[in-house]
Amino acid sequence: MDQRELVLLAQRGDHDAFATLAGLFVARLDAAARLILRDHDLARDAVQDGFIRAWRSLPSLRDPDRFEGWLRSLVARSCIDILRRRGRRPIEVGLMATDGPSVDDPSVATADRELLDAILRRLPPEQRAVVVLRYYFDLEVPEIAATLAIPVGTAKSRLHRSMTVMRAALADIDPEAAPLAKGQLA
Amino acid sequence: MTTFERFERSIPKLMTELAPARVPEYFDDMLRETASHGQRPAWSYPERWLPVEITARPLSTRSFPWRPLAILALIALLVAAGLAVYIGSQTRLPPPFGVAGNGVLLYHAPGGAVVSFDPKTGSQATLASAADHRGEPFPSRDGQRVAYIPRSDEWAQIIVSRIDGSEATPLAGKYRGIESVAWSPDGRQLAITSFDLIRKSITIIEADGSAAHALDLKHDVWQMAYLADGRLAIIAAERPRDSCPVEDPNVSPCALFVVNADGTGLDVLIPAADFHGLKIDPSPDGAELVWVEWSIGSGTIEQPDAPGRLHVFDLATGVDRRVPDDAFPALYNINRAGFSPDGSAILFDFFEVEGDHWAVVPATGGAPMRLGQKVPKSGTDAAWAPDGRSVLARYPTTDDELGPSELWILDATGGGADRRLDVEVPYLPTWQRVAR
Repeated sequence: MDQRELVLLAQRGDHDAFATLAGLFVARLDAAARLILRDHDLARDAVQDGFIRAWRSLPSLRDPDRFEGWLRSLVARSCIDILRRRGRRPIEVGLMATDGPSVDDPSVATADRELLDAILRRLPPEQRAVVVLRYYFDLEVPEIAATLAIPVGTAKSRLHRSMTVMRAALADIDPEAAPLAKGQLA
Repeated sequence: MTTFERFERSIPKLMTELAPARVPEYFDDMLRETASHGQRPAWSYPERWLPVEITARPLSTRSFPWRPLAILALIALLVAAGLAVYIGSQTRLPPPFGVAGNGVLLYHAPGGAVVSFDPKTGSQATLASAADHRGEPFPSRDGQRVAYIPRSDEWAQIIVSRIDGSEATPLAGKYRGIESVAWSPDGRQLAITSFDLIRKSITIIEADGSAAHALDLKHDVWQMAYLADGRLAIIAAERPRDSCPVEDPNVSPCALFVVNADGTGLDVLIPAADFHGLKIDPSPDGAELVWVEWSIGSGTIEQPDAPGRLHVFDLATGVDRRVPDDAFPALYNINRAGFSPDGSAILFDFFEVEGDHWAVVPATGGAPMRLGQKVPKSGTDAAWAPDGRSVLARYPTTDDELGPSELWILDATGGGADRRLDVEVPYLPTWQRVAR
């Protein structure tokens, strides 16, 4: 049974079909929520909230082929909602140690990972969400804008500012790194 | 490959390492939770029947609150009546942006006096004598006051007076190399760009003379304009150590920014990579900016690699569009542009092989309408009349741009009712806005 059929079944109230669909996407959405929220418990809340919204409003989805993007959008917006409800208090809990794939030079990989971790922590949540959508899900700017329900220009400027922060962070550790930052701000 | 490029390429992989994708331990609990919720039937969703653009709008579905509305309506009626009485007793003022009535022309006469000239009646009045050493007059948006801007490289004060020249008040601070000036929308402040020994910066000056403070932007600012919401749109160096603009046309160090008038909230609207901007001007409703894409060719009409082109940037969506030029000649160039007071048209200097003109074009694109005579010499300047029906243009008649000139009011409606004013001015006069 393909994904479209599962969606159609779930739209008619078949919870088993929904559970199968959820199993297809929950792992990456949970990872994305952890990257955006920087907190396991909050990520759990966001993913759970997103999936409940998805189940409840699944009959409203007009195009079953857009299920994945629609679900991603619900979870991403749940992340933003949670942060807004928390009043933008900084979240200090780091991500757990990784058990990801091995790399050629472990020391470089660890340093890069720590750098990315630090950069993500430095970004405001809205920019973090844009970066995760861009690099983790490989979405283009218009898709990011649609996912977060923001204007394309806003998505573009958030991504641009995020790049600026990344370049600045790289420059901090490697002053020779690149003619810096089209768009570097004070 | 630069360090950044290497790092950027590795971000997706680093993210998967930082947050490995695996079915979370709460998955089963989550499914039990979803199963405990019922689904809303499909027919109950407006999205099933209506375009999402309509259904996405927030709707009010609560019962109609007649009583509070009636009370509010009564209060509104009383407030409106009070306002009507109050407004009737006040001087009628033009809005800070948009179409207004045409008042007097203000200019710095060759001898040094500051003069007002009524183009309807031909009458003149002196606002300040040459001995007062006031600068170029720049009327406030409500047309009630005048700021006098020194145009010298010497440190000098800005003075503000009433529109008739009385009650002159020196403002805080001394400035030199002032390049641009703008009254804030509420008329309480002036923003200027000037040299501060190191770079060009923005200074916000209280119009009552009480204080002034430079914005600590750390970016070399070239141009600025107030938006209707009180923020400033600026062209400035994207990187703090760069200058803006530079003479090398192949380098694009300047970006388009927006910043709050207190210096906070600096934000890139168009990054330098996409912005070779020569001139910006906000639309009267503050929704858009017109800007001129700079020639990155040799700067001559014969080598128009990417000659001056009109762009309109939407501040809400961040979408930048080039004004269609299908009806323009094959070779042309533009350096300056500005929205008409009603925002429907753009005035620009139109450099063509056959000769140069001031011209207007609909903001959505279309055929350019050339105004007045061919520009005889360099140094011409022009601006919209407050009512948007005409354009004030100054044409130097010799190679001395500040020397002899002709001053014209050009009909911007296509009626051809141009007329020359018998006034000698070293700069383009400014036009007082009055209530219509």
